[in-house]
Amino acid sequence: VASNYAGFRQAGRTNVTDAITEQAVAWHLAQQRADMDWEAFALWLDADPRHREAYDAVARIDDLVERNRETLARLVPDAPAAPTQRRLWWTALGGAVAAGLVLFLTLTPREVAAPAQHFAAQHSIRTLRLGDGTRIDLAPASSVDIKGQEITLAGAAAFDVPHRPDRTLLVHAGGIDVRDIGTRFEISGAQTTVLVAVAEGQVALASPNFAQPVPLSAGKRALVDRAAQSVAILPADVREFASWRRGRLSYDDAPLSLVAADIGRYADATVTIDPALAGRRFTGVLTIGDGSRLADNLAQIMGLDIRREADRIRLVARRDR
Amino acid sequence: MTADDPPSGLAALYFQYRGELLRFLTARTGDRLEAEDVLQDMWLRLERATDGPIGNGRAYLYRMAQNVVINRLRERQRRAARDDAWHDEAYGTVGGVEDAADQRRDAEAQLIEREQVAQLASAIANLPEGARRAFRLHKIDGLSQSETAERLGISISGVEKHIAVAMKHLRKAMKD
Repeated sequence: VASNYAGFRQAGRTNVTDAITEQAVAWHLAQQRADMDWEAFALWLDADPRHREAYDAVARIDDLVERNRETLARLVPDAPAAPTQRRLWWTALGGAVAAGLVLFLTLTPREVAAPAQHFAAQHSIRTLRLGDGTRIDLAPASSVDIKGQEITLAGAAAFDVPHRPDRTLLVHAGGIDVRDIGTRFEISGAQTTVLVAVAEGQVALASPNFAQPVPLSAGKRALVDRAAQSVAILPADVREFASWRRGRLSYDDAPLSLVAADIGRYADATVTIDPALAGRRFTGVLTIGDGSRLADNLAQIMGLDIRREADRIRLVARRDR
Repeated sequence: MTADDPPSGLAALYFQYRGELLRFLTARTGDRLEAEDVLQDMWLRLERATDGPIGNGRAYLYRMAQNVVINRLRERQRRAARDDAWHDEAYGTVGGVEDAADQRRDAEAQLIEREQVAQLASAIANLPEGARRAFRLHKIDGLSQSETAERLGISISGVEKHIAVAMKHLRKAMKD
């Protein structure tokens, strides 16, 4: 399905409300088919309050038509037969509508042909400004490879992408693709989990493991569990957006693996968690400082023990004494 | 099992999918309490059902959930319309004429729906050519998507596109 939206241009006249209505209609029609994906539909509904509003409007109109067919058949004149003109254009847009997306732009061949450039941040945050006005704040021990409008991220970064109708930014991170035409979002990757949080606008997440791309709007975050191949959409506090740029790490019910990966970036160490702790979650704020105290602070708050070995830190359950 | 239990397998299906239906309905309505009410309504419907689902039981329950949501939306709108009519009249009524007032309120709700249908008909008549023809065949005459596609000589996704165009226009028209 991911390929459905690559290669289509957003129609110049299509505004946001129209685009959302199109998606609502696509979901409404999809329910007549056997392969309707109800979970994806629920995710779409939850992604933005305007989605539910649009779907309600479409379903209400459909209901009104359904119950008044005979009256309408009398009132609406039969159409004269004539071939449709704009069929090709709408067919092209169709794949994108079916995929349930607002964003469907693509790379031009020229951009793809450009060589990739590698940028890395080592011990401090590094800010990159791209030619199109995009700003990327790279967390320590993180890097990006930039090739045209396609970016591969290792680690964590915050993106501030100015809206430009003629292009989409595509970010690959930990096996998922984030597509965006103008928004602020952050991505933080760990071995097992990838977090994407959106402060403004909307992005679409795609992965070979998803049945369909998942839309993610402002004030929401997605936790992608790479092993379970599942994605959870949760609210996000936009005031805490990329708070690491202001010296603290802020979490709300975050998997411990994600916290450990973040700490590792600032502590210049590999932080791992005991498998027995895999299901544990952390809510709270850690002050980054010089990074060396982060693991101790977390262990103290969560009642864990720490094992250190050269540049490796392991968090384990505390033994009963 | 009692005599009131829904027919073969429906009760089991309901309990099997209750959790995911509640999650779905919470997303669908944006309101956990409303979602629980819908589930309750579904149970009452299942008790009255005379036959079970054909084929996919899960899809059957989801479609029923969707229908209950839209019925409740429609009822809420009707009640709101009736209450408006009631407030207009309340000053002139005294005790003992409640039945008459009730009938008037129902008539008012019907009148409002008739106005909506007229408005809808005019909006459909003003749709772009292709969208109007597809909408007429598929939604009003009740042809399936593939029958509509065949009649118009276009693809099924072409039909969907026309319906999307139609709905965009109708949504705007019905908002005014």
